Amino acid sequence: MIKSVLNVNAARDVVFRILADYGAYASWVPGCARSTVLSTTGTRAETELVLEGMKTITVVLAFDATENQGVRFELVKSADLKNYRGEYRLMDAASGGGTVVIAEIEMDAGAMVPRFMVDRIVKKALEDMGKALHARVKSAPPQVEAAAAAGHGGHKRKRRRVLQIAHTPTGPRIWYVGRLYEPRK
Amino acid sequence: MSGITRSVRANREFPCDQELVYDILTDYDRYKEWAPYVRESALLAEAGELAIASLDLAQSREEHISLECIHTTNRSVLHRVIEGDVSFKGLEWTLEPVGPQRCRVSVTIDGPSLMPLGAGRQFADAEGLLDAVLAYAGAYLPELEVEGDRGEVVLEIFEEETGLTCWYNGRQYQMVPVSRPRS
Repeated sequence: MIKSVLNVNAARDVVFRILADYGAYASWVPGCARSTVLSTTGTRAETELVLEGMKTITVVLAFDATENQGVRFELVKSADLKNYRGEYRLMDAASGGGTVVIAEIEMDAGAMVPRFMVDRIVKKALEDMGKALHARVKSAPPQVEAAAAAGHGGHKRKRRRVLQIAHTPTGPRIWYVGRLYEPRK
Repeated sequence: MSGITRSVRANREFPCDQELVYDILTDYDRYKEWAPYVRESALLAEAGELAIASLDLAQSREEHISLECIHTTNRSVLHRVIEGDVSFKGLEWTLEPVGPQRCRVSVTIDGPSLMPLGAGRQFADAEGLLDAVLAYAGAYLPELEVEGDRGEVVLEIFEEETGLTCWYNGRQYQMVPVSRPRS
């Protein structure tokens, strides 16, 4: 399972709508040459994707979206992959300026392709997708993009000691943010 | 990736209640102030008992990790590495009261049997982590816990919501920024 954390500068509903628009993947997901929604039942959408890499592969994925929470997918059909599943979970960024996407993807291309190579490909694909998502967000409708949530309340700041200087029989002792120091010339 | 894994454990009694330790362990923006080899730290996202934090570790080489954190208020904090090439997979902190203003803090680090070189290994030093939290907790205690002679405190600076205050020779002062006259 390859995991990645992406910071996206847009509100959660904007990011969700981009990720849940499976038919538009070809217009922004790197390496996705074609995306066709084959059927939709409730929150589930079977989508055929043509992915171009070292080899062009066609997969049918079943996407399942939970409004503004995230998108899961699993492999329905592929001649090249034995397993391909993943999830994009969305959380409001603590900074208040956007969304944190936690991506988890697992891919098995069979015994002919070593695990380390598959992991490297997935890691690279996630990096590229992160960059593409940033770019895609910039072209999102401005009225929803501006709806970024306010920042989290943060930790309630208690009164805390920052510095203490004491005279001791062995000389001055300086405590600074959890660490002790002794002055030397 | 499979392999032989091991757990490293350590525990210590702290001279404070577990609420203070819990606050320190869940304040990810301030990990850089106390956690060994953490150069930068930030809370990325938080929802209920789940948080996502980002740490930049630095020693022999720089490493970036993202942690998925599960909090049980004043009882435990679980960190799972979800991104980054470091030796440990996760840390679990458990807190239990042992008396008035005292608690026992335990930390368990899960990782492979052979820890690679680098800051990731240093961060995975259970005793070192307890030392660091204990030292940092002193920032919030009425009296500093220090070994040996306590000496005579001549100067202390505290950070409060209203700003900085200073105790100097037994008197308290509000610290006001000095504005230089423009020439």
